[in-house]
Amino acid sequence: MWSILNYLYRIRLHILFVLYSIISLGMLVGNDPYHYSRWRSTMVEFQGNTLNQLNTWRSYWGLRAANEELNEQLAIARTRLYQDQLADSAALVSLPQIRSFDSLFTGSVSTNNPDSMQSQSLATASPFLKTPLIPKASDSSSEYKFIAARVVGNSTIHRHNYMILNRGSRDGVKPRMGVAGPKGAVGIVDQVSEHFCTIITLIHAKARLSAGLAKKDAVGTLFWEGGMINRATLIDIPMHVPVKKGDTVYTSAYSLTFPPGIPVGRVRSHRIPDGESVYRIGVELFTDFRSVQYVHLIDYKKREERLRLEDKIATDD
Amino acid sequence: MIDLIRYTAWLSVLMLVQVLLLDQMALLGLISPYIYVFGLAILPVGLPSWLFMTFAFGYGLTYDAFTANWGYHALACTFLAYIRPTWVRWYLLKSRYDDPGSIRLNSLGWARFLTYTIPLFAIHQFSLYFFEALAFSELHWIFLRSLAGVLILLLCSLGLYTTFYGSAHTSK
Repeated sequence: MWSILNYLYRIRLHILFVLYSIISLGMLVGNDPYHYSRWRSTMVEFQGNTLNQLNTWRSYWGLRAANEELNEQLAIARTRLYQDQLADSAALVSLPQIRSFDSLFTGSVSTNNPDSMQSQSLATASPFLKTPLIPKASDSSSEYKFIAARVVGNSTIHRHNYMILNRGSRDGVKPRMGVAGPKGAVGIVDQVSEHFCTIITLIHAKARLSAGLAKKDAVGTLFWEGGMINRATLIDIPMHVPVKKGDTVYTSAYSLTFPPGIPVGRVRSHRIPDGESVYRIGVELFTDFRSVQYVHLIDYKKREERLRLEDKIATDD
Repeated sequence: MIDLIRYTAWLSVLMLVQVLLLDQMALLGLISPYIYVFGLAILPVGLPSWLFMTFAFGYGLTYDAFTANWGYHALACTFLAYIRPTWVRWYLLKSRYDDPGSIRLNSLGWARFLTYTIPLFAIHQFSLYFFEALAFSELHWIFLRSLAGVLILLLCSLGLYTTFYGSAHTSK
């Protein structure tokens, strides 16, 4: 007995190594969702507060570029608003409408009634395909609510990359809300504390997004395989769909987090793997995850209703 | 006791610099100088191996907690801690390095200091990127990232060391 203990003592370093490796691997593979959620909320609050302070100076440095980007977006949006209004009613847009549109940049704004569009294809259904990022001025039948937010923390170097935004439950943020930046989809809300929230970005190993190609009735799944942070993969697009390099990839109408038509990226390569009948498409993401500073959280108000319906269908089956 | 407090403070500062500053400045969006590893690498040679390993595991876990990538850095630090005693015995003690304090640049000299730190950094970086990818098909990519990671880590570590820690030691 003594010799066994003596032996174990002699190899204690190896035992510890195996033990710690098993613990690390265990954590790496999966975590307890409850403890994970509690711990993350605390960490998010701490990191968010600290980074928020630190980022104040950074915002000043980046203010000029950010302003230019906002101005550019505003110009595009205004142009499209005028075009849409002119096309719809052959009338000029009144100033109050422009004002309500501008509120997108400071508060919330909603889309036109999309119910009437639901039977149409992805290509024509979305108000976002006409105005890719920005919906028209709000009306009473709004389905999506936009909340402007600033990025206070960001990681791009890990397998699981997150962002921290300066909006939390106090601002109406809930888990599973979509997040879009000036150039396109950014990610999905994960953890929410009172003043901050974390985002699982598209460059997170577990992120999956329902996406399709413009003007083609085909929807697939977009995910990140690691490596370059501006590249993702789109699968499940059937081989009969004509795909060409440069085609734009948008969020699909099947998504419960994003409105259809939010731009995601551009096709950079495509092939049909041997023995398969669907494409494997390389996508160049529009969002520059290193530099994005301002985003919009998207609250899909009918998500719960859709989820209930889908659950009911699943139960009936 | 004073040494323990000093080392803990040094490691804590490195961790905060890592989490609040360096993580926000990823090179090409891919590589961050994991400067906290440098803090581990220069801990005293005389530290018992099991204690060093426990310390390294806890330290890696602390970083994991900040990045929500549980297990990755704890595992990489455990690998580093497993290799270090052997490496110290094989390389440093063989060359009659008997300083009981933290490993110093001015005691070792540039060449030996680099020869000592580079393999430890490489072990850490390679195990980190390997377990992140968990795919042998990406080995070339993992090697490239590890190489770039070691280089940038070396530059930042030496810069930090000579600016702050090195000058304190030299003035002793």
